[in-house]
Amino acid sequence: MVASAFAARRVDLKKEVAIVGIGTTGYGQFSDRSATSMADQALQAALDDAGLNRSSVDGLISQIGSPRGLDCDELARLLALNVRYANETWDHGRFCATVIETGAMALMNELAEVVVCMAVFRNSAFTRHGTEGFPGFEENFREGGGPHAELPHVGLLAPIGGAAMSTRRYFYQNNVAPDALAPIALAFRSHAALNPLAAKRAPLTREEYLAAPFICEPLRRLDCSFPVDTATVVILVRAERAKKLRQQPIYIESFQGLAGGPNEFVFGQPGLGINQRDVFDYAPLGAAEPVFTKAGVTPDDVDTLHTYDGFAPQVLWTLERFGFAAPGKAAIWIQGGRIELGGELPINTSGGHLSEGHSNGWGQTLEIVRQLRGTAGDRQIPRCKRALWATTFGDAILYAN
Amino acid sequence: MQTESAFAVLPRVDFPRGQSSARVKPVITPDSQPHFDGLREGVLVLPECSECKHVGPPVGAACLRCGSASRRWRHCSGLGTVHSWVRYHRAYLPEFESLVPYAVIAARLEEGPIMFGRWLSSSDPKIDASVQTVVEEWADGCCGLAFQERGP
Repeated sequence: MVASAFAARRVDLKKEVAIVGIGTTGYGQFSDRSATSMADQALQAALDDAGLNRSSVDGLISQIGSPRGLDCDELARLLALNVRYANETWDHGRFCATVIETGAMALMNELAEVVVCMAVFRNSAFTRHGTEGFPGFEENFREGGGPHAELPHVGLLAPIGGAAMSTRRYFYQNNVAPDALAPIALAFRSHAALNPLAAKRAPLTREEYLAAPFICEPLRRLDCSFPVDTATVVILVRAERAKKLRQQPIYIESFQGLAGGPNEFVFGQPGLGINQRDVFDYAPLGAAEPVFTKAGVTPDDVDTLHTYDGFAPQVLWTLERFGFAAPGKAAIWIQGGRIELGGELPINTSGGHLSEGHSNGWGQTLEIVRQLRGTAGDRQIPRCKRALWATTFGDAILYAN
Repeated sequence: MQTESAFAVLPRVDFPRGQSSARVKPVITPDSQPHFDGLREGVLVLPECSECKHVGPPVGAACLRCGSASRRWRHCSGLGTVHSWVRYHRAYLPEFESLVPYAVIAARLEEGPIMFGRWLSSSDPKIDASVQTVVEEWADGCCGLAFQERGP
């Protein structure tokens, strides 16, 4: 009885929670502004978009927190939000979907009626990520090693080190050409060129990509995202309320959380053996990932993919993990315009972290909403019905209009 | 945990320019102390699970494969192969500024674990090529792993 009731609930997930409002400051260098004023701007824009009042908000979940941003207690107070459900995630980039999933669970369990999901952070107030002045530098000295494989006394520093180590091994195992990542940077820049909110919009050629210096071989500068400042808000409500609001509801069809364990490394796919993990032949779940099976769809049913591209190779690992490309074949799969607007599976159509700016996934989430509302302007994918957020880390949200 | 008798004394080098590791010290806990004590003595010891025989990195208090807390410290040969490598063109900390560009490798040791260390040879690392583990010592006595190429 319990099992069948649970199954019925999952099938009905699409009817339960929807995004009804979005707002953002955009993505750039806003060092002349306080985090509070940025958060207030994004919140008001999202409330206006939804047609909701500030007093209707009773749930608040935030990402990043102090000192790069504001903690959820401070946000609630400084933004005059009286909430009965508040939560916050670790000061790392990978929790955008976790914030939204937590918001959905709070709504489904009637812990709140109107949930504000928010990220606010100013990277321009700090030194470069990976250097001593950046918040969280002391995480390099965790008992099990830094969060991205940092090991300072051997010179393995900054998030790029682990990502580059995984990339070299992945290229070697799968006979990937050294320039195989080029289509990712080029596609996302061509998307950003159509996005007024993107931080990097200048046209990019293959020659310019190849001429960009290495930061940590084999990764070039243009394989790397870049830090920005932003405040971005997504408002969630249950479906019955969503249908009465101003915007077309964008429903969450299914979701799954971040994966963890001895074989999960944040900047690599399982099996590569990087950062003290084991080496084995990785057999991704692909179309059997719960995000697909719970919604009764396959990767072929996805009109656009949005993913965490802190580093370009993460796009390859995500394509394989979620069954768009065969294991080891994603670098071939992305060639020939397949991931560009107009291609078979447009990815990160607002420019992604590589060109819109590293928003921790919030820029991609807003773009998903625009694509499914049909308001993406020059970037609009015709007849866009279903969008997937999915990452190297294993988390995913399936959205549909 | 029990410790076997020693063998395979590792080559030792000083970290360039005799720098203190004050800002970059390895994390030494009661779980990893024997590993770092071993490096000071020039030997490589890593935890081996008494249950599943998995040899792992010197982190945590239990086997990373099966979770058993029953482990012993195993002396390793220091021989391995290049599993992957990177080359930094930017120094994120002043200690490494004079070394840029410098390479760091992931070395797959004969006993199984894959460990990070600085690359000391002048030639580029080559994946699958044989390597020798070296102890790199900072001016304040802190020891870490480094690797160099090894002939056939």
